[in-house]
Amino acid sequence: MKKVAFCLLALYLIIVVLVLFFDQKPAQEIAILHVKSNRAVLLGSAEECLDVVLYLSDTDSFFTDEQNIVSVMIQDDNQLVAASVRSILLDSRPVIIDTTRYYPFTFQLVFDQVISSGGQLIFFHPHCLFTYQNEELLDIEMGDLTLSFMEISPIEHLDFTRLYGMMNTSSDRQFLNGIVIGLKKYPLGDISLESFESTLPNLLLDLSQAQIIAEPISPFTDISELLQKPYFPILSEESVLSTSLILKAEETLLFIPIFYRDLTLKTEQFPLVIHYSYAGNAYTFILDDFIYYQDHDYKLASESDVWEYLYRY
Amino acid sequence: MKKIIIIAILSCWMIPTVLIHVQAEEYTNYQEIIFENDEAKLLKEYSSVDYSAYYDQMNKSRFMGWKLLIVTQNEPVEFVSETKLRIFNNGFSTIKHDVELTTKAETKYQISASGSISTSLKGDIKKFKGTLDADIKASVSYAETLTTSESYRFTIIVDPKTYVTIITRGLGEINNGVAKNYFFWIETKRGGWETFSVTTEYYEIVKEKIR
Repeated sequence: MKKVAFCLLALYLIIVVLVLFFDQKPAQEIAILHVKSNRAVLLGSAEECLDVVLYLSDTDSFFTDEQNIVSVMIQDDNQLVAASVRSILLDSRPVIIDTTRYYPFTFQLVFDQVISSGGQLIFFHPHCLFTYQNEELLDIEMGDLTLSFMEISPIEHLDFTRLYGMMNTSSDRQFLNGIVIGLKKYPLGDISLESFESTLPNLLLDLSQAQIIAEPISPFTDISELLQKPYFPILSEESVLSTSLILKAEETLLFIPIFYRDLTLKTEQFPLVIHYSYAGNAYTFILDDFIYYQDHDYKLASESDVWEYLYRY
Repeated sequence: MKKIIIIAILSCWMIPTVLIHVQAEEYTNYQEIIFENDEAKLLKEYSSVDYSAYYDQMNKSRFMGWKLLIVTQNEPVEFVSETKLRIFNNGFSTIKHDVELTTKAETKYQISASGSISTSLKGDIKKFKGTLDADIKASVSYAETLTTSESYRFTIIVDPKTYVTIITRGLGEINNGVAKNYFFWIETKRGGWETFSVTTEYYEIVKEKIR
């Protein structure tokens, strides 16, 4: 009899615990995260989109319902551009940060209302503003953003044969400290490289310190050895990076160091706009926005890289 | 007769511990994995002498559950992984390709097991079977992913008789060791375990003439 009573009591306690566990009220707040980075994106057509990834602690909120979005704007102190949401995707697994589960939603933005062929919009510390039907405004802080509305170049005089980034791993913060690019010229005559642009005002490729290398080098090579002097990534305001480099050989492998105005945020992706001259005429060779590296470790993102918002209802 | 039965039962337990077969994931087939620490090694490089030495360090049995020995903890590695993409243009005219680069969740965190430790697939992530998975995650730290973008698109023009290759290199962390499972102080399972997590990936694109 005692055993039966004990079992009933135990069963009752289990049921109480289960009821308490499952009868919790739904979350009263939604946490939203965005990892800031400086980005330069080449948009070759109205179909190409800018991905903005937001990590939300809720999978079923009005924030991620396209129908609820009234308008989208990217703006800084001087300019703005209207965008439309093509789709909102959730196709990756959640991540757990400080016991909260975050779901990565990719907001695919298109600029079909304003696309200007050949134009370029350069935003400094812009905000991405989503306005919702319930008048809620989601104001996301982003890193510097350059939107270039131009197509990649067809191969005429010049093509690339290899492209990768050189990484600084010696400091706490990882960043690109150069690129290695293989260039192939098609005409017999010399081609004069005038400049390399990343389209980001913060990131400068210094052709005056470029080195012709015989073969590919490790992306982790200490570039001070290549430059034969200490490498300081921050550029002073007065620095002028302009010089030309003559391509004589059919194929040339170049190392070009990168300098920054500031290193607050990381830059993983940018296109290359190569200005060159051949037979007395000026040309431009454009490579699409290549992803040089990608951090997969939350620990690598410093606090200043992450924008956070807590929506309470 | 009793002795024969006991020997037979013991033999059944021993078989999985003698056969050390590594259930490997894709990272074990990467072109290159280099440890910063020269003494560290991958689970697949453990010799039977290594296993014996590590098991000897865990000679004290326990009542129930898994007992872990961590041999390699959060060891940084450099790797050159598989080729992500290879596009051939065998034709006579230039072609334009839109390439999308996405790193799968299965690539960012991978595991291997040997001996009688086994793995299971839950969702798109592999786990060690039983409570071992939680025990390992409680003992070693592993990366959580928070990226700027989940996928990248890149448009490239490929000349005739040319091919394009995209390869990835990267930095990651390896944890490995051995484990034993007990049931009423009797050892029922033993084997090796390993986790591999990618911290940073680097991409390289190469265009070459078809020879």
